Amino acid sequence: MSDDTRETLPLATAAQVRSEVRLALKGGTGKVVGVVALLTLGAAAGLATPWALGALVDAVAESQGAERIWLLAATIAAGALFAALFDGLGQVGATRLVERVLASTRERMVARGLALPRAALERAGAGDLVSRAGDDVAVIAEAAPMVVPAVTGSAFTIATTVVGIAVLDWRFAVCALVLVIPVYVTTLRWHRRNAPQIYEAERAAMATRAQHLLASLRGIETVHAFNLSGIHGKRILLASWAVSIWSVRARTVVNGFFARINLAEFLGMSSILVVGFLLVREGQGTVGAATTAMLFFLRLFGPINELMFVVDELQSALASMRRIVGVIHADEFKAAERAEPVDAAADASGIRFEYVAGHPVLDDVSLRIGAQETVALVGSSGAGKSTLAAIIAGVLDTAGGTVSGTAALVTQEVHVFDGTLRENLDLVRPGASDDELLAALRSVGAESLLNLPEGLDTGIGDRGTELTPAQAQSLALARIVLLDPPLAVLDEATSEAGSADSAALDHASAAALDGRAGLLVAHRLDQAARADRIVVMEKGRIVEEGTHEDLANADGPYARAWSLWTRGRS
Amino acid sequence: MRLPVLLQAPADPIPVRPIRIDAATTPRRLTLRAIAAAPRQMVPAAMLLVMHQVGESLVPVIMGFAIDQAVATGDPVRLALCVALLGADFALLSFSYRFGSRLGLLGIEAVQHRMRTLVADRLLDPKGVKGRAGLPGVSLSIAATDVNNLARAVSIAAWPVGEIAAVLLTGTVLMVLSWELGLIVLIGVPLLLLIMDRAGGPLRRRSHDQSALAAEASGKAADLLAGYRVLSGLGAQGAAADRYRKASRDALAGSLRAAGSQGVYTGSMNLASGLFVAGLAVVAGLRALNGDLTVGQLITIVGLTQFIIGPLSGLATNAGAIWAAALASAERVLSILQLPHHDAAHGDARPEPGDGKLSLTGVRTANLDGLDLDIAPGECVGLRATPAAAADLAALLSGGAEPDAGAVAWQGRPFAEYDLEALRAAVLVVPHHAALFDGSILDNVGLLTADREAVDAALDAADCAEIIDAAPNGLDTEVGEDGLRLSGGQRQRIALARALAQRPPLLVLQDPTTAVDSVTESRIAERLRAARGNGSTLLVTDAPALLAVCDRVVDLNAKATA
Repeated sequence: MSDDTRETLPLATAAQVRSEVRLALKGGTGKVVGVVALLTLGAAAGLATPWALGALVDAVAESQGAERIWLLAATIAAGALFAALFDGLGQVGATRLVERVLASTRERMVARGLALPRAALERAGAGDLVSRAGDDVAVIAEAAPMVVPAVTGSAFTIATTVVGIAVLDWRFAVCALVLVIPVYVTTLRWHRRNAPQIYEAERAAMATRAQHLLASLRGIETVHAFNLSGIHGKRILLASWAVSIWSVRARTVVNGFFARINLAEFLGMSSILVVGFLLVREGQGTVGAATTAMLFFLRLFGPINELMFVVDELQSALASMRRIVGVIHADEFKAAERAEPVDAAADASGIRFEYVAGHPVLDDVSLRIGAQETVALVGSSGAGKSTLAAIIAGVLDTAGGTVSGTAALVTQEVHVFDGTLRENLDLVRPGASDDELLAALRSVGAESLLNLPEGLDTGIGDRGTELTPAQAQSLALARIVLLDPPLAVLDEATSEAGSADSAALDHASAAALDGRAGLLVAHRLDQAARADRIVVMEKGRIVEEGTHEDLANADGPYARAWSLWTRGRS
Repeated sequence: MRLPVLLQAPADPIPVRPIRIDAATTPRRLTLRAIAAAPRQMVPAAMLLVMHQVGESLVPVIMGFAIDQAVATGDPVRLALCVALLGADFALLSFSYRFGSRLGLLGIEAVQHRMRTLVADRLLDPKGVKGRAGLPGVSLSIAATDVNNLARAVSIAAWPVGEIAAVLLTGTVLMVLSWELGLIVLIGVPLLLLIMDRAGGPLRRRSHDQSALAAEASGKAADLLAGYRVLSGLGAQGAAADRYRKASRDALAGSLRAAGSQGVYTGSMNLASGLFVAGLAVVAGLRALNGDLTVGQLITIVGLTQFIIGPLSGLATNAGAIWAAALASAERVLSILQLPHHDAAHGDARPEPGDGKLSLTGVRTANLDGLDLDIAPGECVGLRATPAAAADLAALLSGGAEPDAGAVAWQGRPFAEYDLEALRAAVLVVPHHAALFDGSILDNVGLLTADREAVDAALDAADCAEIIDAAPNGLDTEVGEDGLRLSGGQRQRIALARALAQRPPLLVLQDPTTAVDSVTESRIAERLRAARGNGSTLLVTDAPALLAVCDRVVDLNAKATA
């Protein structure tokens, strides 16, 4: 069971990510400036502590008295107070800003994900999309509050401290920087070369893990029936450990990164020691100045580490952001502009379609459905009926030929959404009144749904009252009544219910088609027989067309199917 | 030259000590057990991280020493010695961190994997779940994010140990230099930790709320995306996106609240440690002024004071936050691990290989009214029943429920005596909505166990030849996630072939041909008997073509009305 053939959704470019963030921040410039100001003030207040400690050494060396000591301690305390205040406020502000950006980005992503071309989503798998909405969003939410203050706060601290060292003696700064900066630069380059692909592989492994788990949970009945718990569990855990292997590799890169930073620290400190030694020996500097230079340099470790560390977090967050924004920028669902058909509900001509090159599913098919006409599409499975129905409904785009008209599609695949009965219905017409919702249910004869314990407020779907397949189907048909499209395409819409409920559902689908045109994909031929016209398909082509009476009495595939169907049913 | 990369994750998961979970396990206890589960990684990791912190705290000591001994004296030999000492110390602190952190991560990953194994095993457990299972999206979020958060608590076994060692070492050095300073550190630190615990309370609650809301939003996304086909058919993607937006906004509100308390928490921690440093500065400055400390010692003290803020705030912020998040996640992990199983009793007997007789005697459930039914070996029985009665029967025969009255037996022994999986291998009840899984057609039909001859025969019986012919890679064609690259009728036939390929002694099929046309249905009906060979079959259906090939047909609907 390999994933070799899996196509994934695209990754966004850095420019696409930037423009997405700018879009989300639109109108919040004042807030961004405020947050930067708070964090900068916080970093400035934080400088009071090392300055006061340096002054303390001087005060002792020069015997400046106890009042001076108390004053310096008070400076440290006041600095801590302001640093805590500004930094705390700045952090809250930064997190709020970033959370807002994230929320709007993930919402845009889900909206776009739902509007992806059906073929694209099915090739990539919903698990990939769900993992991007979950795992990747979490990665960024965790990284953001660290990255933002580190970048603003640390940069300021580093800048002021370097200036401080240079003021003591420019030779300290020059020696330290000449030795240290190249190490930092090569370290960053090394990281950029090694880290991104590991983070991307880690995220991709997480997506695979999510896919396997979701598939098993959705098909849990089948997993149990065929004793697949062991095999599926192994598959999930294999994917889980693959994530671990990538995580350890990522840590190895981080470790190598910090080892190089340690080297830079050692070089810097040694050089300051040697420069201080020479300056003192040549009589050009004092022991006190060398001490202060060293204390300042020691103080640089933290902020530089923090800054370098967020480079790492930033890479990881960017990998996730590219996956999120990649969905937003995936090729859009261009519901190819459709003309309104003249004197008909839909008009398709010369339709061609293939899922895989060289395996045509539809080959030059033409079908016109008159206003208020009901057309039944019959034929063996795999003949291309569902594909033709999806193309006419506008869910799939045709690869050749033209289609006009708009329609709604209900397939045998019913999905009851997690939520109330009302939420399940008004998806198709947000804001519809209760009376309209109840009327729609009544018109398809969904008596049992009308009698749910809490009425429209009854919770249904995965966590609520379980609906029978027949109830779920009548719910789907009631949605059609509410939507009120000129043409409804029902693709085996009543087949999953099993034979027991078929009579009621036939009635319901007839009600759903009342007053509009209908295209009915049916294998229950009694249903097809009631249509205005029957179209028989075989191997991607239309082979027979006419009324039930005409076709049943002709010597064609329909007549043979009809005789098989009626056997044992009269 | 390339150095070998040490301590990578092995190809197979690293074993950990068993993590006991029962009904009485609390989130706190689960977190503690997780922390203690990987001592083979975490104890050496903690020792290495202690070495790292010792190395870090020696940096200012060596620098003070160098200023006194080399810079002040102008002796180049001492300078060289001090630089070498500094180099050795950096090597110590760098390599100990490198391997300590990686060993620690291996421990975290090992525990995480074990925890995920427990969650996945529980979610897939053949004994199922009493009542309704949760949203797949919510379970996914628990198995991914919450298991991560919980396993991250394992780091508490190593990193804070190093930080505590740094605080103790610094305290001792300070104590030697001046006992008042030592006391400030040794009293001040526990006080800070206490404040941290107090301040962490609201954060724990917020973090809990936030992760619940985030899981809800992610569950919503999964639910909506699962209904993607329905939404696109109705053009309702916009309304669905609005639904998600609402859940996302709720999650955002939770995050914003959590950000507020996180800010207060971090701010008060920074303030407390700043005041701590101020106190230390006053005492050290006054002592030096009195001549109790030399300027060199003051430099060491100032250096150590700057250094100690790191491990202190690490202890205050990281450990507390990790523990708080782990507790919140442990509660959600337990919500899966402590799910009750369904009620049906099971023993450990295994059915005899081969044929058997199924007998139901006076079986009563909510929808079955005293059902008597025997199926002899090789027999094919048709059954007409209401959907509710069929569902009850399927639950009974799959070992997922027990009758209110009456007996269900296979090979003369009650179902309850059998091992569940062994029973399901003998009596295969195929769900009406049978799911296909990611993989090729061959993988799906053969399930990696059936031999090729059985697969070919089953594919033929389920009339799948034309599906295979049309598929680009024949049997090796991928069916896609949930089999969505196939049409409904194709999926149903592949699922039927899968059931036939298993060749179980008794096969229970529920409406297996509802999505196929009548010509195909009659072809399948013709071939079904031969495909079942000596095995017996129970066909729950109303389809005349299928009922026509049965040895006899039991009509529960007729009975009910009679």
